[in-house]
Amino acid sequence: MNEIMKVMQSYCDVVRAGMDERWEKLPVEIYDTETYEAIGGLMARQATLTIELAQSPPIWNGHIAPLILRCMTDAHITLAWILNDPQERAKKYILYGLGQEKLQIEHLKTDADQEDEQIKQLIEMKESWLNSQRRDFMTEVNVGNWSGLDTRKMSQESGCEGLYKFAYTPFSGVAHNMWQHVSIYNLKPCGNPMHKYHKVPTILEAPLDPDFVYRSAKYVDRTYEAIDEKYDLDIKTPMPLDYFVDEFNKLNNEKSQTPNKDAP
Amino acid sequence: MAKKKKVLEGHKKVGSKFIPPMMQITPFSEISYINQILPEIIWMGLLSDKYGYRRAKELVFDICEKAFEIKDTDKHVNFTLASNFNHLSKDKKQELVNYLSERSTLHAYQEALMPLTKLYKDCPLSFLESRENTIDTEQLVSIMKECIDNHIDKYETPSLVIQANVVYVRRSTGGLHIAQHIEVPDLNSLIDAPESEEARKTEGFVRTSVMSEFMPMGEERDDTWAKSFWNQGYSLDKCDFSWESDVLDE
Repeated sequence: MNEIMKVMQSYCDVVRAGMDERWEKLPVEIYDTETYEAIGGLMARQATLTIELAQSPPIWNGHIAPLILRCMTDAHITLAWILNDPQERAKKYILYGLGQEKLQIEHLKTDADQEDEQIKQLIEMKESWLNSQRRDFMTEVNVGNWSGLDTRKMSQESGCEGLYKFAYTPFSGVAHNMWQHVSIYNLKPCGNPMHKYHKVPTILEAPLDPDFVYRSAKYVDRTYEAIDEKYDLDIKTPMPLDYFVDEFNKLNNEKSQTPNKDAP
Repeated sequence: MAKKKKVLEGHKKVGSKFIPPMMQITPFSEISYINQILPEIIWMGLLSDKYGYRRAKELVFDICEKAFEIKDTDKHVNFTLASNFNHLSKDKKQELVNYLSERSTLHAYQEALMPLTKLYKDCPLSFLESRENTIDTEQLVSIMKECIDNHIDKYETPSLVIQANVVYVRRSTGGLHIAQHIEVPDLNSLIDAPESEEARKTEGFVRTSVMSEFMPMGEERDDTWAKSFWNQGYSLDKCDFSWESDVLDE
């Protein structure tokens, strides 16, 4: 495990370095600061998620890792769709987020205990964050999809329908606690025919699998690639997926060449 | 180059749902073999397990044909479905018991059906309960478990044989009308040559006929016994997770 964690650590360093290099080379136009904040923020989100996953072996299992991966596929589709029309779409993305925050503040003002000091402070803090970006009286609240499209259509328009079909959708089952996940991970069959072989609740010990980190490397890789392609960036830092695969291959080769001490 | 298959081919889009071809046929109500059918026919499984298919078939036909003969109603009633014995009055049930006793077969039914009649309350066949207590509860539970296990897969021979009884008893009591040009498959093929082409035809015929036996025709099906059977089974024995240790041993 120590060797695997060394690889994971160096992988995290590569992801971080890749993000820093891209931000440095991105032709940021301060006039359109919101556009680059949205793009940069989503890129950093992907990097954060894969790093957190790589550093947390106890969650490399079917219970938790897919939650991270679902979030990463969503982040990629969001970013890829924004990159097709960055100025317009980044604005939509930000305004939607501000509207959601305004709605949250309204809920707190209406339903929470107004005498509670902590609630008062929370409202104050949120209002200050909101007003620092856009005056709340000018902020619209949109309760539909932020882009005006569902995720499937966004993925189609961004050339990542495969990611939607084969990663986003199955991982959504885990995120939304749907039957296809719960019946496998949270129930076990009783072998008694008199009970119709019903299933009973269980807290399953799911095996740990570094493959979940490999998949997260694929998603951060796609995000980096999309940014590189859009802005024609020449990046020297190795791509996360290439690095991950190379390091694991090296580790496997070393293991196969290590003589067995117990051999006669 | 072969034509690429379309996703959900044959399905019909209704709103946000894609309806599979079979479900586009209306009216179509879903019948569960395990939930609804098995509790009604499992009594024939107990007879098969104890006496073999052929002897069990004779016993099934005998009791069902006699019950049909003495029933009070003019309606066709298929007595292979356990709940239908509830339609017989107390006197008619006694008449049936007397008939079986005269034929010296009563004991055969009583012995085989003991797991049902002794373990389950409100079993429609409880009028066949023996006064003897020759088998302890643990053994009865074990026999019942084995019987359910043998008959829970509707595609396997044991369950096909008891499903076939449903159809052929209906036929023998005049409740099955088949056009003259249609050849009725041979029930014995299921027992004599389960892998044969004839058996395949019989299987298909039997499964669709049993399903239609359960389709509500203007009136709702009564699932009281089916629900009671499964719910009582849950309290009769503990859950079994012995497979977990087998998995760990591998």
